Amino acid sequence: MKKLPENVKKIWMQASIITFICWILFFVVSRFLLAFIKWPTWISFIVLGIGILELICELSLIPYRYAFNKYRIAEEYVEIQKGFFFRKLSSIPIARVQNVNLDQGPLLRMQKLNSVDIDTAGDNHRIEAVTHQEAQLIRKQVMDLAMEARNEK
Amino acid sequence: MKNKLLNPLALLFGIRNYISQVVGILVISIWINFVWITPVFALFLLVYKIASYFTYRYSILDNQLLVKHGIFFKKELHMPYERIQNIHRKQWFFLKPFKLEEVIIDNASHSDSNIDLVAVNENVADLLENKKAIAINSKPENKITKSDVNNNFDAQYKISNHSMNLFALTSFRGLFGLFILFEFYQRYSFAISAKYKDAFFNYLGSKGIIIVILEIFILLIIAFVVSYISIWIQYYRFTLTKKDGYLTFSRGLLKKETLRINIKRIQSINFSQNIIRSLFKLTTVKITIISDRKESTNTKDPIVIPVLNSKNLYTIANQFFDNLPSKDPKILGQRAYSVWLFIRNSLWTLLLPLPLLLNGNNWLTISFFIEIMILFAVIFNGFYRYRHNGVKVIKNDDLVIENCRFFNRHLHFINWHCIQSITLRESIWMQKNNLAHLKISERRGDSSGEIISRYIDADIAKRIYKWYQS
Repeated sequence: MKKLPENVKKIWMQASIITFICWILFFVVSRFLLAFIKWPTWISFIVLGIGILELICELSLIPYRYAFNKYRIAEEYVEIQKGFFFRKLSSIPIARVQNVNLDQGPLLRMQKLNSVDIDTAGDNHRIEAVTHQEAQLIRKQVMDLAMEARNEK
Repeated sequence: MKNKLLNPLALLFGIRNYISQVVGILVISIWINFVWITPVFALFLLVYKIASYFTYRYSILDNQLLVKHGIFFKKELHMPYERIQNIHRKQWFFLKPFKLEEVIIDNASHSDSNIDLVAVNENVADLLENKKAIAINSKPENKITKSDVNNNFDAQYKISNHSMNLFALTSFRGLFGLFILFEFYQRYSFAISAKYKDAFFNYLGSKGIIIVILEIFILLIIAFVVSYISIWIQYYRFTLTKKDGYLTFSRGLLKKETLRINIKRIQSINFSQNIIRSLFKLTTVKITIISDRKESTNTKDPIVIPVLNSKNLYTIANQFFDNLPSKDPKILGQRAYSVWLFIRNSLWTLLLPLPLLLNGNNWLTISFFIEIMILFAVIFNGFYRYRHNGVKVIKNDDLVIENCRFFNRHLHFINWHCIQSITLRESIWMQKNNLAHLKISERRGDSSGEIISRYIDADIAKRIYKWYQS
């Protein structure tokens, strides 16, 4: 199975920092609000605590997350593995694939990466990040194989 | 047939909607002290409804069904016959003398493109079915006449009064009704003034437990009778017919509903049993089909056989479906350890009756009693889910997967070709015990359905996963 590109770690780091900034904003707002409704202001420190805890957890789990996020494009199926504590292994036959979409958020764009959505008629699966060339390749490969499989039927 | 109007009785159907809209406006107008707007609005709406009735026209062309509607913005809906997924017919009893019915044509798309002909002649649906068959096979099929339908079929199941009674008596719908009532109370209890609430709780508290239980019991009986009657009305003269690769089923006393489904379009078959039915060894057969977003859940996985005794379950079901085994498959993958996991996961329900204690000391005994009942239910649930849990591959690449939800046991039969994807889930703690969840996704309605078997043996789950990949 193939691993995600190395710089996806950077993206996860940035994402967790952004969530932390949101928590801090929430903390500041909650201080004002609590004072406004005359509740004890120490409640807002709980918010900060949760934020810090989440930051630490997310940052320390990045290597594990990286080690356990894998995918494989085989002849007949796509396989995606995710998660460390809660593992998920999905298999999608290429003949069932309806659509392959490439997405790119601002963080992904900075690292020149794409995420790949693989849709079937029922559900959709996501490969979190691959390089741009790789994404194009996956799309071409999967769609070609899907076409072939459909024409064979 | 070109540019036909719907039958004028279609206007009648609009009345209910009309009244509710007018009442809605009336309420708002009183709210904002602007009452005179209501008659003006009502008049405009009436004119609008009548105008839109007269602008709604349908044409049955050679290769497609065409609907034109709209007053200011004209809309045209084209539905080629080969795209039609299901044709759903509904006939209210008062429309029968006029030979009219409602025909809903859906093409299983995500957009709101299904066509709802509110009141048309009975032969329209037959005509459409015929056109669809011609379009798919691209060769003319013998015209279906009324007399043909009655004598010529591959298999038929008609519900007997006895099974109808069994079906209605073993239904949980009454309890659901109570549950909905309770939900309503929770949501709108703020609207009831505190004075009445206090009075009510004082009243309950002043009487003994026995009276309260008796009152609950009476409420249950009423709910039960209502559900019994409503099921009789809904499933009256249930008939399932198989003919030329199509399943047709019809039911209903006040409103007769008919649905015709291509057998090849069936995604999966589901044998389900609620707790009472599993005690009496009765099974309900449901199927999963692809349909439109607008369709209600009732037609998303329609019941094809309301109730069957397990003795003749497989013999009768085999007449209608090709890929079923001849007897109950032995399911694999149960693990005794999962009993504890199921119990552990539902222990949180013990917290539910705690808010009762806020109402005072009178409730202590009651809530204790309820706690014990819940504990028993939780333990029973653990064993029940363990017993009915697992997967197996049977002949012709069919997967059997069994699971339980809310004491409802489901046995799914799904072909390899209908499985959209398969997911293996495990946490590191489950890995130590060699357990895994197996999730299967299928097409259901206009989106996806999931079937999950939880805490089964990881080796067996992996074997299924490998089977799916090959």
